[in-house]
Amino acid sequence: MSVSQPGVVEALFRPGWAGGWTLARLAFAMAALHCQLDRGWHVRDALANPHVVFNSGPAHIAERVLLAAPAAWSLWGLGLVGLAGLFWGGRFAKPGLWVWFLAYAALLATCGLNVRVPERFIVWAVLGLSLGPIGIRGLVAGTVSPLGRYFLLVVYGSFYLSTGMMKALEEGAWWNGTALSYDLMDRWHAGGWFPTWLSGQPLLCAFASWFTITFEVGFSFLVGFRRLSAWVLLAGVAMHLSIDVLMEVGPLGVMAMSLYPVLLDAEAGRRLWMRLTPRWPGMARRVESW
Amino acid sequence: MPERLPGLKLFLLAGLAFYFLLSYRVALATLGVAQLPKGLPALQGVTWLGRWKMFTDLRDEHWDVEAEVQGASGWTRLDLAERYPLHWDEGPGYLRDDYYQNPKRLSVLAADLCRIPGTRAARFTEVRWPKTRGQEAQPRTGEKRTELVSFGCR
Repeated sequence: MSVSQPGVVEALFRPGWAGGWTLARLAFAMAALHCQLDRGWHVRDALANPHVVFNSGPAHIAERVLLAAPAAWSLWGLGLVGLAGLFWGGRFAKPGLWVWFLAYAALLATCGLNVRVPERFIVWAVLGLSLGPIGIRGLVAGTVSPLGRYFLLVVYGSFYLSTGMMKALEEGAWWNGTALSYDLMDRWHAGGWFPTWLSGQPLLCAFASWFTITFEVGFSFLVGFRRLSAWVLLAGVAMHLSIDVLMEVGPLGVMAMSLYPVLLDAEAGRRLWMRLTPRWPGMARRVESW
Repeated sequence: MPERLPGLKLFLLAGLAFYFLLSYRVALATLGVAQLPKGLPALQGVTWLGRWKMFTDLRDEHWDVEAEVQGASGWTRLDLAERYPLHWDEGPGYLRDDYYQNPKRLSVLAADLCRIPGTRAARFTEVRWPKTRGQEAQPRTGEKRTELVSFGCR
């Protein structure tokens, strides 16, 4: 009796370690909570303020719908309820994710100009999480279809490759660090003694520019290799953390990093989990039950 | 359990990758460095969710928008930041270029300024000055001033 070999397509969709989804769900919930609490400071002055109308963006919603403060606070609170569901997991995970997302989107829609790359990224992240098994508990011990992971890899690949290629091919000042050094002097994004000092260090700025371009362009081509996957993502963590330390760019960095556990090669992720869990057995048991 | 319809899923993933490729192409066209694809206006809307342009351009200047209102005693400058404190990650809302460079949107701001008693007109000026790297102080030397638009109050 002969056993038929799986074809290339079937082999591509071979189930892989599912634990990354649990870690990503928890990390994304924390990133979204950070983002939600940060927005909390602005509910009164940015989302329910008569001057919102001056900031209407391409959607023009803010020209027609202006939230009263109680409505804005209610939407903000609803977002927190959704996040509680996402944290709790199980059957509350996906509904909680979408409740948070829709409440957040409704708040931002009335402040149209703030629908920027971070918010667009959130749309793709929510779609990716919805394709994954985040509503199932005990994933650390199981396997899952790689479809959700592939979806996120395409999204992240496009995200990094597009921004990297635009820097590398369309703006020569990125090659010698000049563009970055000026970004560090932005009145609203940056500021503070460290970015200011760094902007005057051409060699460091050139190095940081090269690192950024290399990571962004290289991500799509390297993250799929099992041996390189973790290193590529570690470089991504370094890049996003550096940006967050040097600049105020909103929730994009933490949101992007929160889904890294899913992007990690499934087998490499399982091995890493097995290697790390003996060091923190209590936390590992807790995550396994989540 | 084997994956159901893996070929179809692979096809859809390829479609997603194509969508992002198209979005990148439109982003390049929007930057003015590539030929406009046919049907660009429609494509701009469709690809909006897939375009990722961040910190691409060289931004070596600070910029601000000044507002003045004309009363009986002539033109008076207003502090827009104080009057419109709405502020998010990227600074005051009115300073976003797709806001202040759009006369239609600025007319909404002008209409609000026209409510100031005795105001006959309002005008806006964009001010740009070079960034100075490596130091906190950013002297406003070499200012470039461009009048954006002026509005008469009814």
